[in-house]
Amino acid sequence: MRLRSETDAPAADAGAKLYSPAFFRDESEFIAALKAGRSDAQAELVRRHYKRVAAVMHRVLGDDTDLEDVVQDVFVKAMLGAHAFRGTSENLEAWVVGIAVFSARGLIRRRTLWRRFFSAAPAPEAAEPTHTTNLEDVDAVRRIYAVFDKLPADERIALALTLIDQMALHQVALACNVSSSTIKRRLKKARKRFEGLVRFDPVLRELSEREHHDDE
Amino acid sequence: MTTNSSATTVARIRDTLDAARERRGIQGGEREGRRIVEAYTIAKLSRARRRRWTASIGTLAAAAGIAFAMYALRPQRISFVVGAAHENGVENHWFRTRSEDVKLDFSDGTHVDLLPNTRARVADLTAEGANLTLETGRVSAQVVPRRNANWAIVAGPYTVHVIGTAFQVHWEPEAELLEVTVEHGIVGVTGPVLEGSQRVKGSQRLTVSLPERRATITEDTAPPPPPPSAPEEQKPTSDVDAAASATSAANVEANPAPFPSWKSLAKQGRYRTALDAVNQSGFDQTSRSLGAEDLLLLADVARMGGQPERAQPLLHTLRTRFPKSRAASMAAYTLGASAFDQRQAFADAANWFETYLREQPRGALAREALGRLMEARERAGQIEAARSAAQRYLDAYPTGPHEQLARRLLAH
Repeated sequence: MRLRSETDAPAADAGAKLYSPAFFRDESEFIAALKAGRSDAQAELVRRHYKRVAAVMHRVLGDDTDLEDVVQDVFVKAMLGAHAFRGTSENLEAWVVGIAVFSARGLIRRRTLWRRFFSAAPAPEAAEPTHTTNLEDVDAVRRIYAVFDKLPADERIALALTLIDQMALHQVALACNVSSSTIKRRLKKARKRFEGLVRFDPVLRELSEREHHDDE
Repeated sequence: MTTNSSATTVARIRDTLDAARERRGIQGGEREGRRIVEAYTIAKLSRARRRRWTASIGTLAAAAGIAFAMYALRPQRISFVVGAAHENGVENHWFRTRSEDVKLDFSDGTHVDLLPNTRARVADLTAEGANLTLETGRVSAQVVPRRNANWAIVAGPYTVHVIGTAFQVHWEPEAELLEVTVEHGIVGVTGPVLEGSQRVKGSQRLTVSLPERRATITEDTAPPPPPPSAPEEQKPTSDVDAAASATSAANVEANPAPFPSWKSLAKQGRYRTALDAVNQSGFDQTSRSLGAEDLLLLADVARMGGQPERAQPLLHTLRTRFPKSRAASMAAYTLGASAFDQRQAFADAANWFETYLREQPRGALAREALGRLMEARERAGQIEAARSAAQRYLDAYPTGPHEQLARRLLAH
């Protein structure tokens, strides 16, 4: 006997694709399933936090053709280490972002080292702009990240997260797993170094001067 | 451009990056979820391999000397000869008997008799025993009890573990019927329908029918006949009247093998098996006897078990029968999620998420429901309603996972 549908909701299509279950009885069940390595919980983790992690990685690393792979690595690391997660779903995002920042730092350091020993090695390829993008902005972004490439990894991350991502200081400290005063010190050094380097780039210098002019 | 640049300049930089991500389709979703979960599975396997490899390297040098000494003193792998001619047996060679038996004599004293119309092979010979793969037919074995003896007979999805005993195994692959008759000693049988390792003792016969999902144990004093399971020759278990044993169907039920319940299967995330179990006992009949929470669980089983169309009526019934319960609100959320994910019926989904929020404004899924409500309204083209939901979302959860979407909706 088929049970009668009581509402106006149409019946599900017989051939409809079953989405990986984006639903758990409560958040603690979701966390427990994630820690147990259940694939439905893992899919849900990606569904909830993919955009944020992609944004953080993008803003720290710049326009990188490997971005999707890098974000994938972050989630794989999170899934592998999920059994050690001690928080609730409220701080799950901060935890994943922490992993993203840690991964980004490793990647930046490896790339810097690689470039130091193989100076001819090209910088990571930037994605191609399209005609719908403002080319001036694209150029400015490329130049800003070229300057970021010259900063030490920890300073670059602190600066990118506060300047581009507009993350609050305490959140940056949490993501970098250091104290707020350490972040403040890093930011101070990073700002000084960044502003010194920007002077050598004519486009960024002009942009800066134009901004100064507009402010006046 | 300096670190004190205006908010407009920084916003332009952020927008340029965000637009690049959007252009390249880096937005997350079901496809990414699947891809990443697959990548996780591969990474987990390779990490396990790497760990084993690292551990091996560390101990390899130390173990090499010991291994060499042990090699000289290693226990010899058992061997076997075939038939009266005592031809040397070859591992993994398939034997097919027609009208006559083929006898295999192993060097540890074990005898295996491949009865007529049987196809089998000996695999994985070790110092402790061997695996015998029985593709079809019947084998009779007398395994010599030894310390650390390790013999197994693999018949389809079943494995009969043996230490030392005399027994017969019959496997019919077409009927998916297994029969294990033990003359003396004990064997353990594992496989579908059986929970854990099913022990079969001397003078007992285990019959497992996979299509019927039925496992029975009967006392059996008579030797097994060539065709399987003639009930007339079986004596009923314990104190059941012998006359009644002529039709053993009633008797065999006296000692059924324990099945895991559909609920325990569902709680382990084995939804498809749980759904099979519910279907065996009657899906509609089961659903009529359930309370609110179990109805919700059954709906999950249907959704995840591959029959999502059966979940919806259950959820509607739940809401009708238990309208004030927490489970009814959860059913509303589930209906919303199903409408969104499976049918892309976004307006419908939004109504269900609203229902959940109205009933459980501080419920465990309130944040998720509000976020998905916003997504559903936007995808349904109800932009004003989406913006209103976005404002509610930011007021309640300013750093929630849907924060970016909410800000984007309010920015336009």
